Amino acid sequence: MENSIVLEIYDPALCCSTGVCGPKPDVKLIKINDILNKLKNDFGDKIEIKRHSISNEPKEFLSNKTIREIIKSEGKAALPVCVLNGELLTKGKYPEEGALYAEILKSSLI
Amino acid sequence: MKYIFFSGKGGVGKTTISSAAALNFALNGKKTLIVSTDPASNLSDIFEQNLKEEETKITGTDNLYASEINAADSLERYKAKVLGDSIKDLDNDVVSMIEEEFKSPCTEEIAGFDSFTGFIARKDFDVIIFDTAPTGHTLRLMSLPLKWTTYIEEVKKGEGRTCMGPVTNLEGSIEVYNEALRILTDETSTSFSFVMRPQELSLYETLRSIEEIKSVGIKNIEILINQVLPDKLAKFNTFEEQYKLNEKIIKQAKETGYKIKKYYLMPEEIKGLDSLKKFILMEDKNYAEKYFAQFFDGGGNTGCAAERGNKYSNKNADTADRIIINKDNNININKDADISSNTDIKIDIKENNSNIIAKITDKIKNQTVFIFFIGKGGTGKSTISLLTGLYLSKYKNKKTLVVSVDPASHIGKIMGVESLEQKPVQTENKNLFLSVISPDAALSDYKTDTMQFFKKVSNNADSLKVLEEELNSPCTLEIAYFKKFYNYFKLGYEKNNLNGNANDAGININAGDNLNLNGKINNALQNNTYDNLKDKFDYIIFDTAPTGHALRLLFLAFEYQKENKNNNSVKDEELEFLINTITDKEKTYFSLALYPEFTPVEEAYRAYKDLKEAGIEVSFLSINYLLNAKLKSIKFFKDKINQESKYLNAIKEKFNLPSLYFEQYPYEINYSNIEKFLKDSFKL
Repeated sequence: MENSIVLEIYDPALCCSTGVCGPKPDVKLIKINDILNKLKNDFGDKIEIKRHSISNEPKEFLSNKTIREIIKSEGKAALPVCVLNGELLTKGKYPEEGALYAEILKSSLI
Repeated sequence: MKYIFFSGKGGVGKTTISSAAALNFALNGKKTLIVSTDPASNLSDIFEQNLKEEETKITGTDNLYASEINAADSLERYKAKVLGDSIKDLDNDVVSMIEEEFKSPCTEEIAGFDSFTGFIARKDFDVIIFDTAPTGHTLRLMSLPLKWTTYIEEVKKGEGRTCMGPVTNLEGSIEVYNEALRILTDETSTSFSFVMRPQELSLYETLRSIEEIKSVGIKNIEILINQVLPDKLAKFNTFEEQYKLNEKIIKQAKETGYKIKKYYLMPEEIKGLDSLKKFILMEDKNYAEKYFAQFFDGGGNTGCAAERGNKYSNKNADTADRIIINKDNNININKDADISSNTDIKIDIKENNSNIIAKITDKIKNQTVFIFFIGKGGTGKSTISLLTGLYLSKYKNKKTLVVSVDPASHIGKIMGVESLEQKPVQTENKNLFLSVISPDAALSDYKTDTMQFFKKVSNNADSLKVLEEELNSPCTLEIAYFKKFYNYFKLGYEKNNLNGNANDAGININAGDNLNLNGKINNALQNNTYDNLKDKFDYIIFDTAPTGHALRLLFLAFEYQKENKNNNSVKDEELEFLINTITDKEKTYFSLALYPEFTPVEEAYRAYKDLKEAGIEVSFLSINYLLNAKLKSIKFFKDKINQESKYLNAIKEKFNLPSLYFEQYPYEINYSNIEKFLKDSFKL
């Protein structure tokens, strides 16, 4: 079984995933990087993690119906958006580690 | 295809010589494009035509096109490339968020670089000439193709999923970068001309830059010596010494083995096609001889009487030698100095300059005051910064630091300090310190500090690996440089105000990490600097990089502020402090350095408007290289002095600001004569 879990993060406008090219390294970004790395470590090739920044890949945002509608109705405040197996998980913030693990475990049980 | 790059320190005449070269090719039937890579380009000034990034045909020529790479146009192009059709499907606030991100220095640099490689890839011209930004920044631009191709390769080998920031969008362009790199290093098609003045420091810097450019793989190099004194000036006592120095430097330059070319100092301003054509003709020895003859033949050492009615003189300007200060030594000099009047109003430079500085020193109350000198390359910012610093430290007993923000600075050399670093170095004068922000040191400190900070927040090896990879991106240079710059502003900072709350970051922090994160990063970033500067310096003077880059560094503060707001980040108190300081007229003084010629005046005026828009008021000007009125007796300088009056008048009308004045010295400012210059510039 491969890639049974698909986790997608739709980032706001970022220059790089750790924020080191921006005004100040952002603890939020460090944290989410940690969580994603942990997931990768724990689930191996069962999880596929996709990350898109709106300033780099706007087309990815528009081609996904859920995302397109969220940013259309809520604007930039809705970012980042996290989608798990096609289902909206969080918007406006990155998911917390505990909650994310719980959701992943729940979805892989079903 | 032929590519010629004109490089050199600011103010040496890159734009004049490169424009003349471009026009010359065009006149010889070659389809020619001249591209300026300088954010404060003077191409449109010299061609007297509005230019943009997309090439514009120069009116009055058949084959000449010109283009100015500028941040706004580059970003527009980059935006179209990345967003494409998506833009019409996105909400305004989303688009503006993306646009804000695009204004980050990294994207800006990439966009500019993308435009630059775009021009190199052009095949529809016979000759492409690049009029580049002052040295340091051009070296950076030249090294980028190699830096990015290397980085992209590395990232591919590494984690792979690392976001590469804006370069992700350009990955398809890697072939273009490779091609740019190939062209740059191909000696059959590409040559590099370094423009310099016949002065020791200029030669020294040119040779240093040549070594650096060679390390990028560029082989075909020549040296152009501009503003060489015509032989006939040698017989005037005033110029004897300078003429000898010219000869000496030209000889030394020849001994380096590089191809050398000389361009003479002309008494007239080069602006517009006709004068450019004249400049080209001057390369012909016979023409040059005839040209100079009109200024010297019949005129002896004193010869001025015979010049009345000469077609080169300007009647109107004849009436005023100089613009000068009014009798009350009022700082607002401009009101009464009417050059159309028949009275010569003499400037008392020493009195005037001392009064301007007194206006600043009188106001100070237990706070560090910052002074910025901003202007076109070659306006003498370094000398002015040092003179002001010397005056304040030695004669006003104020502890003063002169910081050079220009990577190619030689303030140390002038003050007899062997090597400068970021840590202030004391000079022979115990109150005067010097310091320089070097990009390499800034970058390595930023990497170390950021790694340290991350290690306190994360212990995930994979995350740290990603971080390290991203830190190696060519993107981090500007933020690293900026951090160093704003470290100097911590001086008046109340440390106990630094109460950033970690929870504002919107995350939960593990026990043990529950520290003041803001405090942490600030401390981390301070590690490599120095503490308690507040107690040490009364004045901090910034000798900045040439206009375009200096403004960009300043405006980054505002960009970062916006970006923080955009990302709902914790309020960055240091950044707020920096902005409050530079926009406070009592704390920070901005002075625009210029000299009475067209391009420096225009450039200063553009900077004046840009600063104003950002909420920064210029406090005073620094007008340099005023000709001594005595020179008027030499016919050669008569036009120059008339022209000076014309521009001084224009400066007065445009800015209506007080000004420091400095005279043109017939010799190069160095360790042994700077005191003399100081005595001539301030009342001691």
